[in-house]
Amino acid sequence: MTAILDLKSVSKRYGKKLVLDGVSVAFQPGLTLLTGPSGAGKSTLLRLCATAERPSGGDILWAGQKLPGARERLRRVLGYAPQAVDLPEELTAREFVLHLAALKGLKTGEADRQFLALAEAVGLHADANNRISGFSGGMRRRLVLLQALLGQPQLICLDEPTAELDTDSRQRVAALITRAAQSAIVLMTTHLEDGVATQARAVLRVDGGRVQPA
Amino acid sequence: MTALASSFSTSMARYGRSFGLWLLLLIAPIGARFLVAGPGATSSIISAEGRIPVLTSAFMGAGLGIIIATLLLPVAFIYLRSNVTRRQPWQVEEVAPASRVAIAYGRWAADSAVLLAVLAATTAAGVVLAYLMLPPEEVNPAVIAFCLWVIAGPAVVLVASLRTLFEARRWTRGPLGEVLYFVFWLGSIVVVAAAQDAHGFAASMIDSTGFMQPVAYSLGGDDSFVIGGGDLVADGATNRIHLDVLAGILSDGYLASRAAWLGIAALVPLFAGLVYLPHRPGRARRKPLIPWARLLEPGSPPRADPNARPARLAALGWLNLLASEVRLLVGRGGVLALLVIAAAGWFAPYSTGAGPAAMLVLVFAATAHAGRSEQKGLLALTRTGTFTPTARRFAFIAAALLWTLTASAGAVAHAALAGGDPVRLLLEAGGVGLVTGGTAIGLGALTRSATAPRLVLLIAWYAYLNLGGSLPAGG
Repeated sequence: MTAILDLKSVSKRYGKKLVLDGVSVAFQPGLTLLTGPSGAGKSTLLRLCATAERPSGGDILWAGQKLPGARERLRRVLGYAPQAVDLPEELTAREFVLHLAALKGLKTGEADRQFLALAEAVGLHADANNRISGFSGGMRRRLVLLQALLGQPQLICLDEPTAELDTDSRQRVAALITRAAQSAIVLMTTHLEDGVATQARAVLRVDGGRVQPA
Repeated sequence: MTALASSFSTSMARYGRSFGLWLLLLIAPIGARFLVAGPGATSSIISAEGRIPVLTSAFMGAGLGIIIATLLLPVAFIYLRSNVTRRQPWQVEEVAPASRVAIAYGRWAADSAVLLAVLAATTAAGVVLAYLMLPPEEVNPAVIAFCLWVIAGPAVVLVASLRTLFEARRWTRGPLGEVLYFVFWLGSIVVVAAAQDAHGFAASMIDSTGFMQPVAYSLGGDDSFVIGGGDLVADGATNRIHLDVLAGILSDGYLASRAAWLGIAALVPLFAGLVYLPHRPGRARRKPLIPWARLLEPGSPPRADPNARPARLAALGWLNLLASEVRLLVGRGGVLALLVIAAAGWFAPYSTGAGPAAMLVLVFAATAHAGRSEQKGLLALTRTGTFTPTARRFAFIAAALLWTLTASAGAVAHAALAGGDPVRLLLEAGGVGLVTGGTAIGLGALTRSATAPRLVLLIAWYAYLNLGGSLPAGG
């Protein structure tokens, strides 16, 4: 069965605030952009898809099976790059990514090979063995993206991966995301008119708790 | 590499690259010198029947073990909670398919290894001190290590377990974790004192810190010993008391109880992994309980005006800074607490009622604010402002002072009208405010965390609460 992420009447509430209201949408392999104003619920939608949170109502299905029952199956093929991560400053980029690879159940040798290839692709190769404490904002952003792409995931959730990046890095990241979207479902929030936007199979607007084609 | 091995190795790498671990490993053996009462000592941290115990290899190990397992245990907890591993990439770890039990065990093993390394450094210092203070033929390094590790080993591993457990739940990741540890630590000492006469496995199991049996074994049930410095009898320093701590350690049920505590400590991470609850990205702000508490809020920003002139410097910048610190310290929830405490001061003795209550609320408010404001990123921002971070810290202490003075208003008014001593009350309230504010911001700046000042101030608060009854009445 083709991997499809299916949201059926999904809602999310924080206290009295309804952030998502009965969202129904199916994501298929390819790049889907999520746009909309700040605070509209884009990141919340992404967190729900990435199993970082549970919906207040409705169902999320992965390859036809409901979460949370299928959560572990989904997590094995999931790559998630949130906007902010408490990065372990004392570790090197390589140590950090290999640690996450271990948590994903990847073999060290294979994970290391993938890490080096991805580090080259995002322009972090020269800093692979440097401590994260010396990384700039853009380097941190690329490192978080890199760990999300490790293990060739089938569902990739990226929360504004191109923010804080310079033009060169943005192009590298766009190319990488486009390539990943050839075989995986890539959900990406963005405010910007990225180069990657032209490659999107769908652009959805999140606003007022609803998700609609932009 | 497995999740457990990776969690262990990355935690160890982070510990090894932090300044704090090496400082701790340096302080432990140096501090040991001041914990042991040598041949010419006139005071001792441990005394029995008002006398300093005779120094032997066994007492060298047991004495150091007891001090670590009782007085210094909060330091271990503070270190674990405020060191470099307090920040974990949970945002991505919590969606990984790895077992939370495996991650918990990996981190617990690293925490335990670090604390046991401190024990090893202290043991080495104990052996060196023994060679310096005792005739060489009386020094037995194996006995020193055995006594120290049997007492303090399970105790420090239990601290690592509690750290792991408290990291597993949302509520205990914050201030409640420190409060619970404080209660556990205090309870573990107080409860044991009540079972001083009992012996055997069951009695030893009450004693998680393991300090009672080794000392009490040589003493009768009515005899007393003090840990933490007590008054000596006239010849208490010269006519020393012999405590056979090794016999106490080898007595019926003690070793089994230490092994049992180690087993319990080793099971805690399993439980922590099973009950682990993911972090919550954010919560909606609640409305204040009293409407005019909104006055303490900065309010909504004004509508952007592209033609606005550059802001001018405030005429009374210091006052603005102080007002800002008060606003951040008191917050919305604090207003009601402050009013209740200030009013209660009219009805109850200040030193046992409103005073400790004001300090307790201030401890939580001040340490939370200090922990936030001393983060690296925010410090970098405040360095670009008109006032230096040091100036802001002074304003913080002044805000804490204003807090306790305001909280004492009811008691001071009552004292003034009822012929009491309002000046003494103001001095007491001011002293508490200065100490609390100074400790909170000082330790917060040093550790970049709220944990260390919070636990230290909770211990100070407990001392103040007990001291309150013996202070002269102000009103």
